[in-house]
Amino acid sequence: MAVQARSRSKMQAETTYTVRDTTLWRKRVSKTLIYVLLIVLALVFLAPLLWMLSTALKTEGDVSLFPPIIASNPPQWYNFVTALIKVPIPQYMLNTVAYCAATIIGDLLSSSLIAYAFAHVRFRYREVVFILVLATMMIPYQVLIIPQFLLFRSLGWIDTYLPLIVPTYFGSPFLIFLLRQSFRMLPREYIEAAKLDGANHLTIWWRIILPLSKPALAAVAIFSFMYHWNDLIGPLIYLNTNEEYPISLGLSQYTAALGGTQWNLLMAASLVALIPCILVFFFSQRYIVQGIAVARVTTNERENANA
Amino acid sequence: MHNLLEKKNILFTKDAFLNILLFFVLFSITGCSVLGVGTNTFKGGVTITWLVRTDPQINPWEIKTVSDFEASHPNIHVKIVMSPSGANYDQKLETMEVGWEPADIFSHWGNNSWADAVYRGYAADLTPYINASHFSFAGMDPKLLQEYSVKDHVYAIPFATGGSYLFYNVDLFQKAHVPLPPTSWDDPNWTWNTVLKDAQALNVANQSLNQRVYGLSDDLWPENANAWLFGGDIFQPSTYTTGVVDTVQANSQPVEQAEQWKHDLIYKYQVSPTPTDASLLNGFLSGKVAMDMTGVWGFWTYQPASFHWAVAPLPRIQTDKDVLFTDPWMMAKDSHHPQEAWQFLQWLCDPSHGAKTYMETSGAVPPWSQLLPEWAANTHKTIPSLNINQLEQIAQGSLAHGQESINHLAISYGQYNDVISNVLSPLFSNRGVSAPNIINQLQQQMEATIKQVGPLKPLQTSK
Repeated sequence: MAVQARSRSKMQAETTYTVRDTTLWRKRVSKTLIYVLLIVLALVFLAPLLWMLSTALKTEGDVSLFPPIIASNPPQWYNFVTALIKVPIPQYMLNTVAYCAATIIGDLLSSSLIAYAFAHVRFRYREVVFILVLATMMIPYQVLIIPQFLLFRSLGWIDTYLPLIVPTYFGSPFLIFLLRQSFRMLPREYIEAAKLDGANHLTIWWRIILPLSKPALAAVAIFSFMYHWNDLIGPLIYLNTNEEYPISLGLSQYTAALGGTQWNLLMAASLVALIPCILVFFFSQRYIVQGIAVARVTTNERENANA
Repeated sequence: MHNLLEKKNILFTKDAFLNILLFFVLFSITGCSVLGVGTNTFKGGVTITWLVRTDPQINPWEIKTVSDFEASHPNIHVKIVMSPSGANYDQKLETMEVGWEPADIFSHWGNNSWADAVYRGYAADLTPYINASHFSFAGMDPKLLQEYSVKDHVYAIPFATGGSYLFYNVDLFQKAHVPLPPTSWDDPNWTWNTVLKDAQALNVANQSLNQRVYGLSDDLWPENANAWLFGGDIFQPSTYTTGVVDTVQANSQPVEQAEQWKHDLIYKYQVSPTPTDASLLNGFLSGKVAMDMTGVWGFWTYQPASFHWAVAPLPRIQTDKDVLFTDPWMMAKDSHHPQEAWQFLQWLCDPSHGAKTYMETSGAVPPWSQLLPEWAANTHKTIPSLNINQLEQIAQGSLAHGQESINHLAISYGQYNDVISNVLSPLFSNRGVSAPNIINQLQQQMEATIKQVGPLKPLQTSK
């Protein structure tokens, strides 16, 4: 009996080990598969960057060779130096950083204040005014270029960044919409309680709404940064002095019509210009995801409202 | 809540202070230069603006030209305004014009043409300035100047020109033991049959793209360049003089033949790359294309090639008429400083200053006959397989056989170009599509575009 019981318990233990082994093995396989998939996807997304690096390390003649080569022999690391000297890329990046900083502050302050009014201040025709604000998004920028140019010219602002910065202190319809939807999700009790404590609208906006909406504000800051970092048309229209150009216009100086683009230098300069964007991404990727969530929620809300 | 607010009151003060401090620090450190405060201004003279297109090869020439000009004209400062070419250039030029801040000197480097600039009143009539300053055109082919004249009034002065050519890979010709093409535009043996035979001899078909060699690539532009070789045209002859596209003949027989011929090169003879393969290969520079028919820009864009290349005339099919691409400088009609702008324009077009140094930098064919030997000598360094006389012969022949490009002379050409490339695209990307159906669609869509552009007043040029 004792022998039988021992062998049974041994069998049970072996079965348990086998089950555990199988489960462990399955877990390992599934984990490996996930990692393989993630690595493949990462490579797919990295491919354009790797291609840029490869092109940046080639001579001008090697860029067009077929079949393509990974890099010239020896790799043209000096292209990075040439790209930064031939066109003043560092100056353009500095200009762009300052321009983006000023516009992000403008977008955050103005759009959040306006969004607060649309979300929590009751006034006559609020919804109508909000729809009018949204409707301005439907006006193509091309239609506004000449009237705006004439306005800013009369103010003596041509060839300065003022026409690009000052309007951000008057709100952006898309950002207002985004923030308004986010502000509306905040518990109304906080605002009522603050009112009971004697807080006015500016105090509520600054001390209640803004601290509770950090993810949405971060998303707005990222959207604003991306828009102004990449903006080509605005600076093209208003700036005439080469030294004042932002990076978007600066990089275009490596492009030329009729096949004259120096791809190796353009890629080298673009890789350098990417560094601030990558840094912004690394330090704010949590907020980018939350920002996407905010945008999704607002879209869903709109869809539900339409339904 | 009250406590919370009180507590936060301290934070608010701190936060607000920090935010305001950050804001002002940012503005004071970087903002001044960014906002244009404290930038260098020219004092004691006149500042004129020169709107140029971005081009890493040419932009250093522009900077050097301004420096040379300012050294001999100390009271005039030239401000270079750079814009990407194409639609961006048009946008910049138009905004400056409409906003009463016109670019004093500019060219037709957007999608819009010289005719657009004249029609919209951007370009000044230069004849009074030419007469007053006795600017000499000795050495310039009168045909080139007439292209940019309206009723004998000059509205632009050429500084560079060039036709369309057949560029070829010398190494591939030698490898396949195919005789090199001629340099005379009047060679009776240089016909379409010869080119097709050579293309087939150079072609390496039924191979992977790595091993493949294409005999010939037809990259002639604008699209009507092919119809010219078949003795026809998409546009009416009057368009070249009036600037107005009022009727088109896109479904005429020569146009059909030309487009079918291009299709056959890809699918019937299989000597030309499909659009997909062409985009993968990056064209002639890949070393996989033995012959490439394209515009004058081949002279400078093919310079980085890692193989030996040379240039030949276009083959004769029904004609050997090639497209001329003459680039002129224009002066703003509403320039605030027309006298100073005219002085700079003269400098830019002068064969001993701007036109000469531009030719040396770009490799473009000069419009001045006195500069042609120097151009040939310079080009010989890039194309050693052709001697100086042969290069001169090719350049002179292209000017003699050439006619100015429609994209310089038609009002709103950009819109017609979009229609042509969109409608013809399926013909070159699909084996089963034939030219007759496509060109009927092209005719219809071109007529619709004429209506869309609306009625225009003819320029009535002096030709």
